[in-house]
This record gives sequence, structure tokens and C-alpha cells, in this order.
Amino acid sequence: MVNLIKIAFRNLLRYKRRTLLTSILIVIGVVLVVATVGFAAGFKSSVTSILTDSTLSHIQVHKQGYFENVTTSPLDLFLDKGEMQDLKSVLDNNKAVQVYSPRINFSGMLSNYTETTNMRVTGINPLKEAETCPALIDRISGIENKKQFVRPGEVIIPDVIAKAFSLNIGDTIVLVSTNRHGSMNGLTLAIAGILESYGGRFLRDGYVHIEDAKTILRMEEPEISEVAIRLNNLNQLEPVSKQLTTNLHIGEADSPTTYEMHSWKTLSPFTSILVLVNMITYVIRFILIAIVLLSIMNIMMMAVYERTREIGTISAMGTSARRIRGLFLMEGLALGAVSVCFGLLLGGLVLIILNALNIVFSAGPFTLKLVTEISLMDLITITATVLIISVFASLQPAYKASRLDPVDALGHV
Amino acid sequence: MSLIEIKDVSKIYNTGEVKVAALNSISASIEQGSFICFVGPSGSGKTTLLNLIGCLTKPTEGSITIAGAHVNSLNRSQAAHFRGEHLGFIFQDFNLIPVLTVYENIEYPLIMVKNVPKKERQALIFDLLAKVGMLDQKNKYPHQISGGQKQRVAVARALVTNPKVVLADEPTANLDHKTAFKIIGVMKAMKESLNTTFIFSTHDPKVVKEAEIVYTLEDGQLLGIKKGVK
Repeated sequence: MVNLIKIAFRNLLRYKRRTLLTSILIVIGVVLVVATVGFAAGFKSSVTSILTDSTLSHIQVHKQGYFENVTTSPLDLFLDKGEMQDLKSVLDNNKAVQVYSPRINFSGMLSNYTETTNMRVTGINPLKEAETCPALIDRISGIENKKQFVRPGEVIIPDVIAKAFSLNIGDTIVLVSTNRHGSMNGLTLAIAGILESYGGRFLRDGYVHIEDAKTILRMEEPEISEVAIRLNNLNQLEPVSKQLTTNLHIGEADSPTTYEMHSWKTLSPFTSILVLVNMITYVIRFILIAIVLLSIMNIMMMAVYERTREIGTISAMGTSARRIRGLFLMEGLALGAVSVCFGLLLGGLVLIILNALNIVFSAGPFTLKLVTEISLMDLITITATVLIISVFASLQPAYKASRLDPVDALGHV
Repeated sequence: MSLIEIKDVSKIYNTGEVKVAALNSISASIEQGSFICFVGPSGSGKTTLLNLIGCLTKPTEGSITIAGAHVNSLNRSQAAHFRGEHLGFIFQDFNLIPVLTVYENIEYPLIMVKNVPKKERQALIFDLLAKVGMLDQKNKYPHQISGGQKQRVAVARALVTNPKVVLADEPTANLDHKTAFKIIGVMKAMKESLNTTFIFSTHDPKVVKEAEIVYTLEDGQLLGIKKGVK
């Protein structure tokens, strides 16, 4: 094997310029894939982090039918005390669940005494919410106590409303809403913070303390609209979702369904962007495969043609067809291996440089800092792809070499 | 029994609709340890006969037996194995592998054909390098040595697997007279020391004189066998 590798490398160096050009082509392909995958992974990670850590959390549980009507924040679809106790029991017994935050969602009218506008309000326990969505407080300006970022009597309003109504920290507003029985109520609240908006559904979101939500909506017991759940590890999303689905008896035909559950992927309107980003990486991977396949097949076919007499010589000496095939396969593999190594190194360097440049860009409603990242699995996949395609591209030339008639090959000029 | 038995061998090439008889009912017996020359003009069938004995092609008619094996019936893979075990080749253009050194060229059949262990390989190669006078050139690449030196390396490579027969198609054609005689001398010395059968073809009448037995071919037919020239 060592001799086979040695001969393969020497044969590659025989035509230095051609080998170099082919290798450069593969290196460029690998760098392109590494950069794209690194950028895509970083982008996905950033967007996922923004969505899950500041608003959605990893999983949300609602009353059956709530999600279908989520835009109207239906007050009649809530989890009552008994249902909440059952849910808490399930969540507390699941070790993958880090923390959860019960929320009361409702639509309200915000008035600064001269103007009125609508706002989507979430009543929360700030301690629980800060743990469930740790990035939320970073999006709120003006808060003094990061853990108790909204206390009873206080409100967090979105920046678009603050700007439109010229509202500042400490100003008071009146928040009015109608409860599920049609009874209207209002509460005067002081602005404790101003929330940076994402846009879309999250453009007019505000927060009040859960006790104030109960007061405005005249609830005797909290009527929970949703429970936001944070997991210890986002990678556990699928198995934990399955566990919770089973434990909460969701989707079971023989039992009345109380809960519905959605992961952040279902809840986020931006998941399709992430799918698109994934598709782009697949296109780039396909381009890499084409580059490796065509360039290595080309160089190996030329090698077989130019070394026909040499193949005749080694065949005459008694080299088996299998060994001749092995020689050419090893040559293709060696070229792929060297190229992918340089490609990965150069690709890694490109990612480091991109990170060092601190590039900030806008992607839809998000302002993101470009942080690239690439997993070991991605590196292994890229390497394996190049190596497998290298061997595959060398198969036909290697087979042709092994089938050459020694007499014809020796007579080749 | 002779080492090589050739019985009524014919070889016809089909070139489109035209059939060309390269050899026509040739018979011969070649003994172990002989030093034989095939002589004749271009197109006489020398190379075809060497290719048939070398199991590189099959006769259209007749049979060839080498070391007791009916080589006509060998398939492609068996023929390759047989060549590796029993035959050595020397070519007119030397056909050394350009990316390998002198030492590695001789080592090649021991690794790729016979899987000989490293220590054993070293002993065999150094012995042959000394015999062909190339020991001091062992680390050079083919492009760094002369034509005569290349052919010495080719002789060593052909002999390193200890074959029963070495076939050489015009081994001196690309060499000057002085070098050609040296190569023939090396081949003869090897034949003496290893008892290997050498069969070579040539146009050169002076080289022919060096052979023990001369087979004269013309138009695919064996015209005569001359023994005891030297």
C-alpha cells in the first residue's frame, strides 16, 4: 500500500502543472463549500438564537386550537389550573427541560392620553421569562433590574410605538383590553423599558407583569395562553418533542386532546429562510461534486492515454489487472486527498478572516453580525465527498487501464 | 522435455476484411539455459513469436507449452500471473518507469507482482545491480542515465523475479555497437550464472553471432535453425 501511494504521488508530480491546475480547481471548490457551509451555519445559528433566545423559546405548549388563531390572541383558549398542574408535572420530570415560562397573551390598546394604538401584550413572570428567553433583556433598553425587568405597574413597549408616540422611560400610559367575557378594563402603567422590534409579527409586542395581565383581564386564576419551554440543549429538540408529545398525550385518538405543542421551527415565520440557506449549501456542494468528478476524470483519462506504453510494460511484467486499477484509483484518491486537505485549511482561514472582519449585515428584519462556524461533521462530510468522488471519477480510467491489451499498449506511440 | 515447446503455431491478424498471417505453422523446441536469437527482416514474425511465447497474445492455431504449462488455455488473469512467475521482458525502448529510481524500477516486479518481503528484495536487487554494474547508479532516475545503462537496468528488472525465460525484443536496436555488445555480454553472463533462457530478436548480424542458436524467420515462416554459432 505504501508503495502504491508513493508511486501515485510521483505520477501526480510527473505532470506538475496539470496536477496543480486540477488541484487548485478542487481547492477552490472546497473553499467555496467550507465558506458557504460556515456562513450558512453561522447565519442559522444567529437567527435561531435570536428567535429562540429572545421570543419563541425552543418549544411552546398551548391549548388545543390556539396556534391556529394565534394572530388574534384568543382568550378563550387557555390552560386552566388543573391543566397547568399536569403540564408542570410533565415538564418538571423531564431532565432535558431547563426552564419554562407561562405567558398570558392578549391584545390591548395603548393610550398616551392623546393618541391610542394597538399592541400585542404578553403577561409574564420576569424571572422565568428572563431564564427562558435570556436574550430578551438585551433587546430592552432602559431597564434597571435585568431579572425583574418588568414589575407590577410597569410595561415594556415596542420601539415603534415609543417613537411614534414620543414615549420615554418613566412615562405613563393606559393599557386597555377586553377579557373573554367581553368586559373592558384598563390599567395605568409606567414605561420600564423599550423593546427593540424585529418586524412582522413581532413589530408591536409589549410585556407586562403576569399579575397586571390578570388584573386587566379580570382573571381570578391565571388563564395561561402559552408555556414557553427552554431545553438544556437545542439539539435535543426532536427527541424531547417526542417525549412531551407522548407524556401530554397529544395526538392520541382515544383520549381527548387538551394540549398542542410546537417547536420554534413551526412558530417562526423565518424558518423558510433557513431552509433556503440550506438549499444554497446543497447547490454549492453539488458544484463541488461536479468539479471533482470532471477534473479528476479528465486528468486520469489523460494519464491513461499518455502512459499506455507504461501500462503495457507493467502488464507484460505480470502486474494483475486489479493492481493496475489500484494504481490509478490511488492516484485519483491521492489528488483528491491532497486537494481537500489544502481546501479545508484555506477554507478554515477564510472563515477565520470573515469572523475577524466583524461584518454586520441586515437579513430581512434582523441585524446580524457575521459569525461563521463549521461543525466537525460538516468537515468530515466535505472530506468524504471529495474522496469518494475522486475514487468514483477514477473508476472508468482505471478500468480502461486494466483492460488494455498488453501488445497494443506496448505498441502505443 | 524442452522448456518451451512450440507446435504448428500460426497467428493471423484480422485488419478489417484483410487477414494477415504473421506466423505460419511454426514449430520449435527450446531448452532451459539456452541463448537464442530470432533473426529476420521486418514483418518476418519475430515480435509476434516473442509475444506468443511471452503469453501476451494467443496463437490462432497450434499450441505452446512453457515449463509444462499449456499457455494457450490461460485466461487474461492467469496469463498475467504466469508471466510474473516464469517470464521476464526486455524492451527495445527500455520501458523503465520514469518516476521510479533505478533501484525502484528493479524492485517494482518484486512488490507489484510477487510480494517479496523488503529484506529479501534488498538482497536480490543489490546482487543484480552489482552483476549489471549499476550499483553506484541505484538512486538515479531513468532520465539521468544513458541508454546502455537503462538497458542494464531493464536486464536486471527482467531477471529479478528469477524467471525461467527472458524475452528481449530488439534489445540493442537503440544502442550503439559498443554498448549493444556490452548488453549482450551482460545477458550472456546472467544466463551463465543463473541458467536463465534468453530469447532475443535482432536485425544486427554482428549481434546474431553472439547467439548459441539462431532461428531465422521470413514472412511468418521458420526458414532454419542454426546451432553452435558461439
